[in-house]
Amino acid sequence: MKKYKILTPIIAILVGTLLVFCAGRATAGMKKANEEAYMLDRMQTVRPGSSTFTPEEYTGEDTNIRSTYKAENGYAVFVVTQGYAGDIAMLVGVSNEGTVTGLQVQQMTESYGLGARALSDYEFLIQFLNTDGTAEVGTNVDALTGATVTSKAITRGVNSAVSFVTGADTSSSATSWGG
Amino acid sequence: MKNKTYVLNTLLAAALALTMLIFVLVDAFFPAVILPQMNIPNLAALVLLVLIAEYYIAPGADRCYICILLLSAVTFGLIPLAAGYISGMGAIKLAVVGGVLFTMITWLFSSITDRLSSGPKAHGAVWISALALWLATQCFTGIIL
Repeated sequence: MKKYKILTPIIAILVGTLLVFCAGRATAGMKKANEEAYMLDRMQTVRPGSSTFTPEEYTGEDTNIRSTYKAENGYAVFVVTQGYAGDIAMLVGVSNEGTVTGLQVQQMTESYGLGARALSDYEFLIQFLNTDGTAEVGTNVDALTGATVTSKAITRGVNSAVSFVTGADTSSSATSWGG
Repeated sequence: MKNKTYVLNTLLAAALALTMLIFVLVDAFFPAVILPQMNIPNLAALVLLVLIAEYYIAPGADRCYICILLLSAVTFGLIPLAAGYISGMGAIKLAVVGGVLFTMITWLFSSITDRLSSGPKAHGAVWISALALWLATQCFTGIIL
């Protein structure tokens, strides 16, 4: 009976695996619906005045741009840039005229108390409103204190989104770490 | 010779399954929530909580460290993969890192608790030792990454 003691953790692993797998499958439909509703809500926040957003395939070369959604009065562009500690995912609303109408940083793993403030620092984020693809840290954007790399990463993302709408080129150096 | 027990790995499987279950449910119902990453400090925190639980449930347990390594690697690779939290190469990396980390922390924690005095101070010392190990893991992460 002693040699069967090792079966206990093996059974626990298998039961745990099965449990989470079943939970994942059971909630998959609800997760998809909630994600779509959340995404629509976020897009309507960054690009107000539109009720529908149609996904458009992105065929450009800017590796920051992951997906684009066409609205009646502009676009919502989902951008991911390389920050200090990892990827920074953000949703940028851009009008048809090429000005930023909204920005939401959705996911990041930047340093707590430094770059992580970009998630909610109002004074930092509001600088990007009404910019037209010429945002630059040190020129017309004040960086977050102690988080220059994060600030530059977000600036790159915003400029990428505007460049997509206006059709301007984004140089490859703008996608490099440190901007 | 003491009989080897496997309470630790059983607790790890239960704790990780519970954590992944919570992640799955939070991800389904609250998509706006940013879930914690499976990085070294977070894994270390989970491991230390499991070790503290085992200290109270099966104190002085005799360990098979090879079994601990292998079982924990399977646990860290399989359960998050089943939850959809990671995929492909990420599962293999997590299995290796998780297994090694779990084994190392278990060895260190066991070394400390084996030397703790008996009596009321021992219980507080377990928690403080776990906290010190977690802080050390954070420093270690900063050095190697």
